[in-house]
Amino acid sequence: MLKRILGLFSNDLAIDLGTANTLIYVRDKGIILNEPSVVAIHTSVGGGNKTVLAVGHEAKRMLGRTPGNIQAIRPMKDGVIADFTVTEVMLKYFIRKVQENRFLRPSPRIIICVPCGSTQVERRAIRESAVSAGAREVYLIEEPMAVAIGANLPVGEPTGSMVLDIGGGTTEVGILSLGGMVYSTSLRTAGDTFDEAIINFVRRHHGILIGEATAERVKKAIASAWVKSENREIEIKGRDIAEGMSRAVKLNSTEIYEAISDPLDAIVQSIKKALEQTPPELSADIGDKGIVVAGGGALMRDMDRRLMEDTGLPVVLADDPLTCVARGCGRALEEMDTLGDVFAHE
Amino acid sequence: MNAESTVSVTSNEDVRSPGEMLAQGRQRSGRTKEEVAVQLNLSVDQIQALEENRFGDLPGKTYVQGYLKAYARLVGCEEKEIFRNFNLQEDTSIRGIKPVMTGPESGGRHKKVWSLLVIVALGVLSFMWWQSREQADVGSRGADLIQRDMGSISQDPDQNEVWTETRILDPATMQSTNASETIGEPESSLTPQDVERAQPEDELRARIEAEELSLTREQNAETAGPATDIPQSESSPGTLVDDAAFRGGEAPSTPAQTSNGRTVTFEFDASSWVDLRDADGQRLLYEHINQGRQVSVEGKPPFSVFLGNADGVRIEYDGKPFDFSAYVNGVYARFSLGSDAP
Repeated sequence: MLKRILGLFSNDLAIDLGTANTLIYVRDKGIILNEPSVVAIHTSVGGGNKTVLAVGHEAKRMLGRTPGNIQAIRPMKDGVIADFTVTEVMLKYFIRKVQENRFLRPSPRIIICVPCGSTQVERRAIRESAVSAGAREVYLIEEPMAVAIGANLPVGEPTGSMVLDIGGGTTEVGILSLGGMVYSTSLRTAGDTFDEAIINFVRRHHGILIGEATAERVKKAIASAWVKSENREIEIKGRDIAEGMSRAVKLNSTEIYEAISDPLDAIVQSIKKALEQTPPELSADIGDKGIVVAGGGALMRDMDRRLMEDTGLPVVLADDPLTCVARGCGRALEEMDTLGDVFAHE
Repeated sequence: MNAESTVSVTSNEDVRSPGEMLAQGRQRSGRTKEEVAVQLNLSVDQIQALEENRFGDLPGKTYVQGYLKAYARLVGCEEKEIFRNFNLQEDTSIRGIKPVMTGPESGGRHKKVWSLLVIVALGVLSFMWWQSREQADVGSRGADLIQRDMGSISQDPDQNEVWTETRILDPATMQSTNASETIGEPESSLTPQDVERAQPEDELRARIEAEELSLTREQNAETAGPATDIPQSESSPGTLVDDAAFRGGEAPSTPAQTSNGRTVTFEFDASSWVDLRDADGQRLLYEHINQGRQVSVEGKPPFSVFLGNADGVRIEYDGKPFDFSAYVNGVYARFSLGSDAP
């Protein structure tokens, strides 16, 4: 009862609790938080007390640059919670940050998106983490559904829509019709996999060790998903494996394409597999309209061309693909009554 | 003339539709509609619909935007320009999705303010109701206590004795009162046998009256001389006085203001029930008095005082504050006032 009364003073939240970034959509306001899902923890001498040093952007700057007593942690891995306690701390921090009313300690209703391939245990962990962070009610929504709603696709109509969300930890493929998922699959190959592939490639071919942050910078600057893309170059610095000294090296798009071609192929294969599993009527609809691509992976250069070439389908990049999931969660929150049962159940 | 034609060309360019721009771009790049359709995995009909701005024939806004973007990039048109013109033709607002805002929306704030006001109003009303209920409780509890006490006194002679002990203060006065009260009363015809035959509910009262009668006869024997056949009793005259006192209405009325009267002043900081009786048991005050009032009563001491809400009442006896905190029992207090007065 008390929570209900306090709920009057809180704004309901929709959270895209992603592996790479956490976005929070506040009811009637829009997306007001977009920060990396990183927490920096300071451990006192002797290892007894652990205190949170930084969360979000500040913590991300510390990634790979911390002394022994500080750990910069990404508590989400492959789209699900890897460290329950740290995720809870991070959620609490973000929720407090977006709530204006600190006097009444409001308890909002929260919608959180989960990968469609997540297990019951993983979903329960996310739900409990949100409850511990102060949520009054928690709703879970599968990522492909959130993408479809966020991209304003006709999810409730008797027509097939296909979405592809290439996030940080997972790639989600979903085929939707009449407000439900006809087919969905989750692939643990996504943005982080591209970064790892780049790190491995540079180590193997240039004998240099680079960190995640540098690999991400390379990916954003020159990576391309299509072999015929314009070639670009970037100079990076890393530690020479043989000499142990810092060394600079120039990387080009063709090399990076080679580095990430395996994870790219895996994504294309998952789309083809989904199309194979789709009922013919829906397959015809999808063939007519195409795939809607969202998530950070959609921003990779010529991703649409690669997908068009490999799948033979029209490819549509969602508007502002990074916030598409959060917007979808937000719309599900605002139109909970009209959209029907679009939420996931444990 | 030249200036006019320049202006008209510029305005024509400004209102060029996205379809026209794409068609021109396609022609510039030397592609046919079929080639574009193959490269974008769209049908020729869809390409034609795009070029003719028949967006209603295409699946939906999200898809149309995606096709326009892909087409523009393929034929080398400026995406921003195409979307600017597209947005002029189409309603850009996406249903249900509000743009990102930095400040809170006024509507939401109004809703919160109204909710807060309603809750505060409800809280105030609840508090007022609770307060009024508590006051009524105090009043009724005081009255109940008095009635209960009186009931127990009239039904339990032992209790009656205890209660009367505190009130036997002026035997001489009481004796005279008793004598005047009892001589010539019709109840003198009652005998102890009559008492035995009385109904159970009237048994106690009858017994008291019989006792009173016997004592009256004893008194008469002492004052008038003639002996009676009724055995003598050891009862004190004070008891008789108080028996008469607790029967209230049966006692003869005596003036509340006497020559040697004392003043009792009550000041009510909170509403309280008051029962004040003088030495003769005459009720001087017997009511529920509201907060803020001040009541002065003059009468013959000693006074018997009963307060229903003792904490909310202050008493002055002959102009001097009287501390009765020692007699407070829970919410009520019962005590005698002016017992050591001459």
